[in-house]
Amino acid sequence: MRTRNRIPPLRHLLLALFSVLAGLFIVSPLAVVVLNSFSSVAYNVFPPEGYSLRWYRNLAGQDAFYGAAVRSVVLALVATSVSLVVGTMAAYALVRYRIPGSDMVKAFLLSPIVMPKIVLGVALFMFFVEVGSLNSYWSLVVTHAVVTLPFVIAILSASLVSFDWTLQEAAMDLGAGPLYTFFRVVLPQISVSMIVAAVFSFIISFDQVETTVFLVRPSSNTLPIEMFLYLQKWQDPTIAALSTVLIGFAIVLVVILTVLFGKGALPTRLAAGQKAAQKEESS
Amino acid sequence: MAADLIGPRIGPASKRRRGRLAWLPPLLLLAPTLCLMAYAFVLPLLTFFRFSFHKFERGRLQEAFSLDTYRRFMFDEYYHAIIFDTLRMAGIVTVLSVLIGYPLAYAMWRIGRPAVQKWLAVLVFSPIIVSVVVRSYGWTVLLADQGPVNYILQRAGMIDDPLRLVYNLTGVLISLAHVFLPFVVFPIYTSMVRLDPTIKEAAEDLGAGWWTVFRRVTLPLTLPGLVAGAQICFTLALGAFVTPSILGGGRVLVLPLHVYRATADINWPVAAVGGMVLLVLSLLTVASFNRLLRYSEVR
Amino acid sequence: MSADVELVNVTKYFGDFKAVDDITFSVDSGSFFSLLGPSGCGKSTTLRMASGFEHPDQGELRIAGLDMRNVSPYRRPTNMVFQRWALFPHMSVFENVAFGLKVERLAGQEIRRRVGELLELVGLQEFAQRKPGQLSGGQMQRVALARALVKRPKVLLLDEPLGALDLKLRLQMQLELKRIQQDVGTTFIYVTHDQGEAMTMSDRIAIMNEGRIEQMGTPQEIYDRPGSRFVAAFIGNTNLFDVEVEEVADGRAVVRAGEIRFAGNTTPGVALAPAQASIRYELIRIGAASEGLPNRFEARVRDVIFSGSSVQYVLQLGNPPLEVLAEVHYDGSQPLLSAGQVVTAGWSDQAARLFPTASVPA
Repeated sequence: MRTRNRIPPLRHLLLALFSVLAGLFIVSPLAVVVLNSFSSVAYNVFPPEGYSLRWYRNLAGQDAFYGAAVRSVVLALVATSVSLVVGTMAAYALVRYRIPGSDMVKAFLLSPIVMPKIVLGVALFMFFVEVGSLNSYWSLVVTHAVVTLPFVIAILSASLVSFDWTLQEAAMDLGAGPLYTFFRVVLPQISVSMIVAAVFSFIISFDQVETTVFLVRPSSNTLPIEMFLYLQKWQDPTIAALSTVLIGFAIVLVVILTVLFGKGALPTRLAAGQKAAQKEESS
Repeated sequence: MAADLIGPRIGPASKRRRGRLAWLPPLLLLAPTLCLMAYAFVLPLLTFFRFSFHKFERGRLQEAFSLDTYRRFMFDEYYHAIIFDTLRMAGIVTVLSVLIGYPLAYAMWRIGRPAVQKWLAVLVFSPIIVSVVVRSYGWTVLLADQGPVNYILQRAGMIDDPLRLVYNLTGVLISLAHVFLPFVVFPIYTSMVRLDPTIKEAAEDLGAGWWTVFRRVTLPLTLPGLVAGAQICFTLALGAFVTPSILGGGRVLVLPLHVYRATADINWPVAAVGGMVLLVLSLLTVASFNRLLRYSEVR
Repeated sequence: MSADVELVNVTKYFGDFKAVDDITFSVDSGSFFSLLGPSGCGKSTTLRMASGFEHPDQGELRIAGLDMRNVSPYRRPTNMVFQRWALFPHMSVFENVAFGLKVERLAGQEIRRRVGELLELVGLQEFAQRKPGQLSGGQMQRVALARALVKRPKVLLLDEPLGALDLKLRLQMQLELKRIQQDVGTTFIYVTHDQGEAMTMSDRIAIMNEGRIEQMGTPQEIYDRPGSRFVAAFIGNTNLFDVEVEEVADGRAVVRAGEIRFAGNTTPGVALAPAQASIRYELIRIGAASEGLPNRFEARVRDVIFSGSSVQYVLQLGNPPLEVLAEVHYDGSQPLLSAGQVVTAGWSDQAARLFPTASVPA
């Protein structure tokens, strides 16, 4: 073949060079945060004038961040549980039953994806003020559930569409009732997608700023909002130290998921979820 | 009745006997989702819509019906500028992301070694996991006057004084392109993977060089992926809030930021109308890109 | 013998499409019954109604004497072997077979004993811990069979279970299925579009076409005395051609096709009008074998199709030439005829069956 020359053609070298530069583009803002977190001075300067752990010590003293992190994790877990259960039920209904206008129903359920987040956030704020539930924790949970729900529905309905429904018939034929069949036959088949959906949902919930910023009281911010508001006031590397910790968690998450799903399977899975969401959005 | 049609593969005659309760299971399964959506999506948007018809005068909310706020958006040049800036920002970010994303997807697709391909995919898609606040913050450090980018450019002798890359539109554009890159790469990459390799071989067999193959075969056939990527990028960029807040330094006033500020200033009608404009722009974007998508697929 | 499965005037619609059209049949206890027909003839729908996955719009369906109208699939005394087996991919062979017993909440020891028995019956003891993905098609087929039989159903329903196997394995599995059926004594209802399968295994066959039953009987009855043109064409290889009826009386008729005149058995509806004749390939004798037969004609060999154990000759009889195919057993003892050769061909008085041309409802 012409493309398998011993010396790769120039355009291949250019492409490789481009990929390296693009990789650098992707990694550098994260790498520089890590580097900056070890800086010894409070202002941004490159190369760092010295190295220290003072920003990590400073971070350790900031109870606000710690509290916010705990709140964010708990909220993301609760919201993910809700949207996973509710969303799985909805996806099952949409795929398994012939529902009049099911395309419309699905488009409606996925529409929060296209909605500008700030619009949803302000709308929720106004609504919760009107009904007097602004400071309720459940308002927050419900908000995060609505934001994550479309992704759960998109991922799980994509997975259920490829589910072999004769397995369900086989189980029922062997005497299993509907619930037993769901938990013993359907659920194990879609478990991987459910994990993917849960991870997606957790990440999305954890990263909410616009939808949540009006709903939390200053004393009970979630982590990204605490960081966002901190950044409005200060720019010192405390935030870099915190970001480094978060990047560390992200790397651990990638590693765990990669091990869990076999080598290199994660990006494909994540991408599949993204694809499902995008496909719905464009329809 | 619509409900009568619900049910797993029920013929017309059997509806009478078996189908009486057939609509119940799907309805029960959908009920929690529908309740949740009604409570935390539909009702809030209706409230939002209602507030867009009120007005804000002398520091107080006037509850009476009024189109004043809409009128201000229609005729005040201040708002025209905001809308124009928002569209321009989304447009430039989309072009930028596609210019980086398409060759990157092409490289991912053409790399022969699966291991390299996998790691490149991890590299491209993993940043989604990191909070957008962290990524935006990273760009403020990277693009700062004394940051690495200016340092390298100065050391290389390409510039004398540091470029103002941050706390203005430039920084916002670069950072947004970074944030949306995975969303652009993915649909393009998918459309490439779906290409039938024999089509390319057929073109080569017919004597086409790589450029002709790319221009006449690969590009047209991956155009739907490109359009889909641009669509998602443009829509997300319209609603971008965190990155313009952090990297704009108060100088980049786009619609989402305006809505945020109006809400914080308890000027709900302006926030609501701004949000409605944003919503309409998003819907128009989705609709026009869908049309473009259909056009790109037909060819 | 009592009937295990009875369908009375069962009709099933999908939308406006009549998938099953007023069928009535009963299956004797302990017998092997096949529903045979081309795809889309309603045979699978009939089976799915028996299993409870579809519900008849009209008519009655009784299994072991009980009306099944409001009985869910999981409460019926039937079990099914699915077309592509539908093995649970996340369970081992053992777990697959044990699934139905676990649902019944049997004791672990009892489950192990019964699963063991069934795995022995299908010869898969060593594979108990494998996952379906690690099995060959034939092995998966056996697991599906064991999984259904372990429930000791009154009736086992099989939906083209051999369709996904290659030919050799299919032939082997046919014999094995028949053996297992005779061993366990369960009633089998077997759906297939493959006439060979149905012929080999069945005690009785129902031939279905366009939602109706065309003919029901033992394999031999159906082969020897097809009741309709459709059945004649569907079962075995047969020459079908237009003829003119010249005399008809007492179930016999004399017909003519061009210069060729012969007698055959009629089916209801044959009158002094155009009709169609069916003569099976293997009933046409050539050369010395045709001597003494009542219907003998001069024939020209137009083509020779050699397929190992048999040879098919394309023959032209009379003028204008009537083309028929004759199949002759081949053992190498005699040389093949060659194209262009002129021979004598003939058939017995019982060989031809006559059907009315206009398609009358069966």
